[in-house]
Parts: sequence; C-alpha cells; structure tokens
Amino acid sequence: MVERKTVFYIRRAIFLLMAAAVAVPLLVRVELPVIVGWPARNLYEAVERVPPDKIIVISANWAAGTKGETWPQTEALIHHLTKRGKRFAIWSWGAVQGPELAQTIAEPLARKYGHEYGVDWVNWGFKTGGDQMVRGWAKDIPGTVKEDFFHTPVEKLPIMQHARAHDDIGLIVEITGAATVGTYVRFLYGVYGTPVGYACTGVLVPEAFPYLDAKQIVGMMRGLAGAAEYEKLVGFRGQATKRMAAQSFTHLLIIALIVAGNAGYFWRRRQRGRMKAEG
Amino acid sequence: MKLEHANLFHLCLMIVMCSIILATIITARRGRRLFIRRIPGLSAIDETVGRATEMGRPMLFSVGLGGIDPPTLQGLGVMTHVARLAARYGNRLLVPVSDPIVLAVAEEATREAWLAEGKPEAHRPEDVRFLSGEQFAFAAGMMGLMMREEVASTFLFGYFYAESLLLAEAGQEAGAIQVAGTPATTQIPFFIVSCDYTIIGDEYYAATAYLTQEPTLLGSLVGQDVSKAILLLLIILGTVLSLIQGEKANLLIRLLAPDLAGG
Amino acid sequence: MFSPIKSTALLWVAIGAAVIGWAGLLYGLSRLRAREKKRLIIATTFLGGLFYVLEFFLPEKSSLFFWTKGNLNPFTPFLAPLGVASLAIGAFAFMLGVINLSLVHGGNIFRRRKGWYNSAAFFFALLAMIIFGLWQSYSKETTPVGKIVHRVYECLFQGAYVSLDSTMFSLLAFYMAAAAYRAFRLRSGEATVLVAAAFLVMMGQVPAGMWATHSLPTNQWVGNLRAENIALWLLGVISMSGLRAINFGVGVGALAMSLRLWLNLERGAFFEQEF
Repeated sequence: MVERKTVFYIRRAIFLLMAAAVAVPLLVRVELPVIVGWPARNLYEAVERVPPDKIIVISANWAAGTKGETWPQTEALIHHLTKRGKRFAIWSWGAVQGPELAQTIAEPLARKYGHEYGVDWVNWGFKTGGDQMVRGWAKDIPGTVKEDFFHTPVEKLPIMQHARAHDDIGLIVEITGAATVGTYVRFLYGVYGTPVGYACTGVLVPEAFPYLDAKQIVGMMRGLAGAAEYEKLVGFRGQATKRMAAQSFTHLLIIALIVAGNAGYFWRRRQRGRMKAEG
Repeated sequence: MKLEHANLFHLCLMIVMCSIILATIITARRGRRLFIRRIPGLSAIDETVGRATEMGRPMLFSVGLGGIDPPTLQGLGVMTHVARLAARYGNRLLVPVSDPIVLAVAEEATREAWLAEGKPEAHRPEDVRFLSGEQFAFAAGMMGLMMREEVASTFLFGYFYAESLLLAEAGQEAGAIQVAGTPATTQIPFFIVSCDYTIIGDEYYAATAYLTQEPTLLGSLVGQDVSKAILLLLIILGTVLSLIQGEKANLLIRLLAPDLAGG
Repeated sequence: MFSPIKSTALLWVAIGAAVIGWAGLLYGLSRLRAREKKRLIIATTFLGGLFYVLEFFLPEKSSLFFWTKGNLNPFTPFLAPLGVASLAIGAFAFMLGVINLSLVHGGNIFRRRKGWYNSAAFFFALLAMIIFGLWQSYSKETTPVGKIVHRVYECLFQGAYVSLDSTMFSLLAFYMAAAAYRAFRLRSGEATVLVAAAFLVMMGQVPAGMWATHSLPTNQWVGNLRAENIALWLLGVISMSGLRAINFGVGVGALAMSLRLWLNLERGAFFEQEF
C-alpha cells in the first residue's frame, strides 16, 4: 500500500506535469497536421448543401463551462457560414449564456465578411419552455420567438421572411455540452426530416454515434479535435488548431502516466512476491 | 422515422411490455418468490454506512443535477434507505441538492427517515441544503463540503454531467468510500475509475427493489427483464430479415418505421 | 393555442381570481385528511400521465376525432401550454433555494461559526449579481451611470462568473490524469483490453497519433490501420453497440418506473408513507 504522503506528492506532480503539457505547446508554437475525419467532413458538406433560400439554425445550448470546446466549434461554424454567405440564426433554449456568447463570436466575423444583422443573420436569444417549446417553434418560428436578443420584434427583421417554419430550415446545428440533441432528433428530424448536425464536447461523442449510425444526425464535430478538423475544411487557423498540440501532449502524458503507474504496480507485485518467497 | 406519435406497432409493443410488467408485479404480490442476483455496489451500501459510523465521520448523498424525474426519484429512494441506516446508527447524512423542488422532497424524506427510526430529535434539517442550480457552482460547493466535513462515505445516485469526475475525485481525496450509480452512460467511465462501487445502466433502476426486497418492485424488475428479452428477439429478427429481405423490404422496418422503408 | 387578450380590467380580474382561487385551493387542501390527500395525489398523477399517454399513442389524424377541425388529435394543441404551465409551477420553487442558502449562511454569520466570512462573501456576491444584473437590463449604456453599470456587470459576468465556470470545467483535465494514473492497472485480461482500446482511441483523436500512421495509404486496405480509422471504428462499432445495449436497459427501466409512478404502484422508501 503506497503511503498517503507519497500519494499526496504524486498527485501534485501529476497536476504540475499536466499544467506544463498544456501550457508549453501554447507558449512555444508547435504545429501538428490535422487530418479530417468523416463526421466533421459530413457536417461541412451538409452546410455546403443548404440552398440559398433556406436558413441554418445554430442552437447554442452551451454555457461558459464548456467554452474550451464549444467556443471554437461555434467559431468554426460561423466562420464557414459567413464566408460562404449562408443565412443563419442563433438561439438557445437550454443555456441562458449561449446566445450571448455566440453573439460575441458572430459579430466580428459578420463584420469581416459583410454579413448584415437582421438581413443575413439574427440572434433570437434564449427562449424559455424547454424541449416542448421546440415543437411549437418548428411550426411557427416568429410566433414562438417573438423578439430577438436585442428585444427587437422579429417581424421587423427582413431575415424572418426566410424563417417562418421548419421547412425554411435547411440545417440545424446543435452545439452543446449537455445531451440535448435528442430534442431535435425527435421533434425536427423525426417529424419533418429536417437535417440535424451536432457539435459536442468530447465526453458526449460516444453517445452520439448511435444517432450518426442511424443517420439521424448528418455530421458531427467531435470536441476540440472536431473543431480543428472543421477549421481545416473552412480554411483558417483558429483556436482549435492552435490548441491541438496541447491536446496531443496531454494525451501522450496520460499514456505515459498509465505506463508509469503500471510499471510501479508490477514492480511492487514482484517485490511482494519476492518477500513472500523469502518467508 | 416519424417520432411525434406512435404507430400501431409501437402501441402494440408498448401494450405487450406494460402488460408483462404489470403481470409480473401481480404475480409477485401474490407471494411468488423471485430471485435477484447479487449487485456488489448495492450490497456494499450497508457496509459503507457501518464504516462511516465506526470512523465517527459523516456521510454524503447526492442525487445529481436532475429535477423531479425518474432518475432523481430513484436516487431519492436509495437516499431514504441510507438515511434510515444513518438514523439507526446515529450518524449524520449530508444531502446537498441543486434543485429547489428536490430540496423540499429530500428534506421531507430525511425527516420521515429519522421519524421512522424513532429518533426525530436527532434529525438535523440543515444537513439537507441547496447549493446552486448551476452545474459547476454545485460541484464546487459539494467538493468543498466533502473536504471540510471529511466525509467517510459518499453516495452518488442520480443524473450527473461533466461534474461527476470532479465530485468522485474530491471524494477520493477526502479518503471516502464511494458508491455511485447513474443512468447517464457518458459518466459511467468516470465513476468506474474513481469510485469503489459503481452501478451501471438498468442496475440503477433495480436499486430500490434490491434494497427493500419489496414484492412490487421485484416483480417489476422481472417484467423489465422479460421486456428486454423481447426487444433482443426483435433485434435478432430484424437483423436476420435485413440479411434476407434487404433494408427497404425488411418486414420489421416496414412495421416500425414505414416512412424509412418508403411505405 | 392561447392568444393573449389585451385589457387592463381583465388583467386585474384575472390576477384577483388567481389569488383568490389559489388561496381557496390551498385552504381546501389543508382541510383534507391524509387519506383524502393521498387519493387526490393519485388521481392527479393518473390524469396528468393519461394526457401524455393519449396524446402520444393516439394518431395525429383520425376519423375518430370527428369534432376537431381537420380530424386532428385533440390533445396535441394543449402540449405546449401544459409544458409552459408546468414550468411556471416549477418556477414557484425558485425562491426555495435562495431562502435555504440565506438561512444556512445567515446562521453561519449570526453564530460566527468557523469560516463565517465565506458566508459574508456569498451574500456580497448574491446581492451584487442581483443588483447589477437587473440594473443593466433596464439602464441605457449611453448614459454615464448606465456605462458604469454595464461595465460592472460585464466584470462580474464575463470576468468572474464565466471565468470561474470554465476554470471548474478545466479541473477535469487534471483529475482525469490523476485518475488514469491511479486506476488503469493491468490486473486482468479485460483490463488489458480496456487500456489497449483507450490507447488506440486517444491516439486516433489527436494530431500526434494521426501523424504516427499518416504514411499509410488511404485508398488501400492497409489504410484501415490508420490511427483515426481505428479510433472511429472502435467508437462507431464496438463502443456504440455497448452504449446502445445500456441505453435499452436504462430505457426499459425508466419505462417500468414511470409505469409504477403513474399507476401508484411505486413502493419502498417514502412512497408508501402517509402524507
């Protein structure tokens, strides 16, 4: 049994190593090539396929806690939409902070690519009512949304001519740190066949594969790596790409720690065996 | 697949499954003895409570971040069992919650547990406390509570999200024995790694049946198993039909989801 | 489903009726005996569940619904308003949490318990967020006072709350490393398979791992041995099957529990106790 004091120092050493593994690649610019996987490629192509008369809805159901992964995902997606001149709307029903954080991401990108608020994009803000409200929203978007993030009645915004109901939605992309994509699969895809895309934190990825396999979601950004793949497809070097080196180093560190832990385990087992043999 | 309303096949399947569950409940209530296999995590609850009492340190029970829904109600059921043990052995049970309605139910449940053990005066209402409705604020509060109170045992039964590893590791650092159970499949790996005992998947919904040995709950458990066997048979049948008939012509898909089969 | 009617007089009548109605209802409930209360709860639970069961299992459109326009399901239009109503009822409880926190932390300060200054910090943070949060919603950023209020709110929200929230989430990385070091021991064959799978999935998700196998050609069978393809296969076939199996079990378990709750068959713990 390893002494409690030894465990105390080992834990702190692990924390220090982890901090170094994250910080060093960020401070010393290390570039590693990103290879695009099929889930991110499928999502990219789904966005590309959306016709000009349809709108793309970004469901920003994420809060500041998951910012590390969902911020780059939102940024990569909005970058794609503004660069390609796609109309989009931002909203949330699961996280109050989501639309505010997405607004912070969208404004500079919209300015860069000449996307005009109210004409090419809109932020509907946070709406109460949970997933039951989504059912009514799909049938009557202006009637459910009523006003945008800035408390302007949505009927005054020109973009709303292209966002009356579910058949105006070319794609809905759920960006979340909680398992909320099931709502859109049930009430959008399951009822109207509206394509659903997904961008989630790494821990939710395994749970999303049943939906991908059943083609209930068209594509997925798998955590920070998925955001980096998406950035490569869009053609810019964003936060996700810059952080991939740090993620690589931390993964290698965890592998090294597992090896070290097992080396210690087997060594102690051997010592115990020897002591037992010696009587 | 249209999911807003059930079709005839869904209705029939649901009627069959519910009938089986109700039938096994009735059979169990009439006195038929039912066997349930040993679930190590649940067997360890009594031992864990005993250990905490011997060490003279309090215990902590968390029902996760959910509101009043089946996973939380199940967690509250297990919590009441642990509360009764705590009352019986004269130990403290801290119950931090993140939902105001769950707070009211948990307060009532712990009060009733101490009353049932004949020790209402020993009950400490302030041990059931609301921390925060925000995920990580709740996690921070609960981690601090575990460290400050030096809990000897923690029970994590409910719906957890990303904070599960934070809570389990904080319990580890406090030197507590940890028993966890959650229907959230994404958090199971974290609990397995950090907790001494973990209850996975539908073992979670078997918890109250296992602990109370109540005939209704045991009967329901057997009914669940029969329903799962039916679903397994349907999966095997569907796979075989897909191989023979192909996906579009698959009889089962035509029944389950006519729109997918083009019908 | 329900359209608002704009009328001040009607609004006051509605408020008055609601207050009197609720007071009357609460008085009536308090006069009921325990057995009657239990029967009322059982009946209300059953009727509430019955609505959702009928709404889902009855078809969207049927000639059975001859009295509705277009023969549509008569329950579906009530879904959204009922959902909003249950949210509104749930919102009644939001002050419970604040009251509980205030009692606990107020008691700490009043009795000067160990760490009472942390409780004082709680009240400071609570009041600051309430005051500046509400103030900035109703003040114009163009005025001098409004500018300060918005800056303070930004500092509290973006600077403090958002940063603290992200920091707590980032602790996961450290704890994961510590847990991996402690828990992943090759004690058995199963544990070895688990660790090997974890290694392959980790390497297939990051550029360092993908780079190790990037020279394998993608258009030949050996391309399946690329790190990212192995990782996706493990996630999309092996892991997905296991998760689906667990989800089936959890789903059936939730069905059984919901059925018991709906039909008042739930037993054990606090369910069989008198209210």
